Amino acid sequence: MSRSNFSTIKSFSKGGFSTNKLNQAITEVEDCMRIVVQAKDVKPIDIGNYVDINKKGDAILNYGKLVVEFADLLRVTTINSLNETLKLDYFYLTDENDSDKDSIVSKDKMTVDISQIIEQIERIESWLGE
Amino acid sequence: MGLSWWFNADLISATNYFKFVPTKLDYDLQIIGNSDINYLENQLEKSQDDSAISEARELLNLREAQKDGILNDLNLVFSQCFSRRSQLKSPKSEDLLDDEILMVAERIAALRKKLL
Repeated sequence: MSRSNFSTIKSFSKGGFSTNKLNQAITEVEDCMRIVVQAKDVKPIDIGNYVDINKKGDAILNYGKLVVEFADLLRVTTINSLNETLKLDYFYLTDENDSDKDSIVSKDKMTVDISQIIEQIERIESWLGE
Repeated sequence: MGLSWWFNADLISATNYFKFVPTKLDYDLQIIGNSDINYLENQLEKSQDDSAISEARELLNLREAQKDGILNDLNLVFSQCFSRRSQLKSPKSEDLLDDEILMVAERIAALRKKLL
């Protein structure tokens, strides 16, 4: 099985692994997968609604909401991408042919809809006169 | 007022502002509740001009503390996954995130400089 573009495994190839090292790597990946599954179950912070921007205070208010919303998106996206990477590493190490394998993002990183966040950035930039 | 307000805006990059993984954990973060944030947001919405700018700055401090808490939790996951592992290494945010997201992170960090 070929490997993804990036990996959590230190060794370039499992070919040089002893049986002990291979089993250790599999155990460590399994540990991480459990940690990541638990981390996915976190609710985002409720930031409320964005306001119309008529003064600097409004722009700063919206910017504050924006950084929290984006931080939540970063957390979720990074965790999901790590989860997929760990799955691919697990399949590589175990030679497992999983039916879900084809649905896993390997070459392309996780993509999400960030159009709402970009819209808020553009509203602030517009108010600043850009 | 938190220290982040005094942080030189010119030194802020997306990498440090959004605590790209892997980075050191912060064990001294304060927990931010929504009550202070809601109060300050109401004050700001009521004000008709820029007289409440000190409230705006305090609000941003609280929001940035919320952001730091979220990202510290993320870094805790990576620390739990990859600290003291003999066969694994931590990927970087740049490996895990789409280029569009990385560009938006840069844009938000740059926007802070312009806004303040």
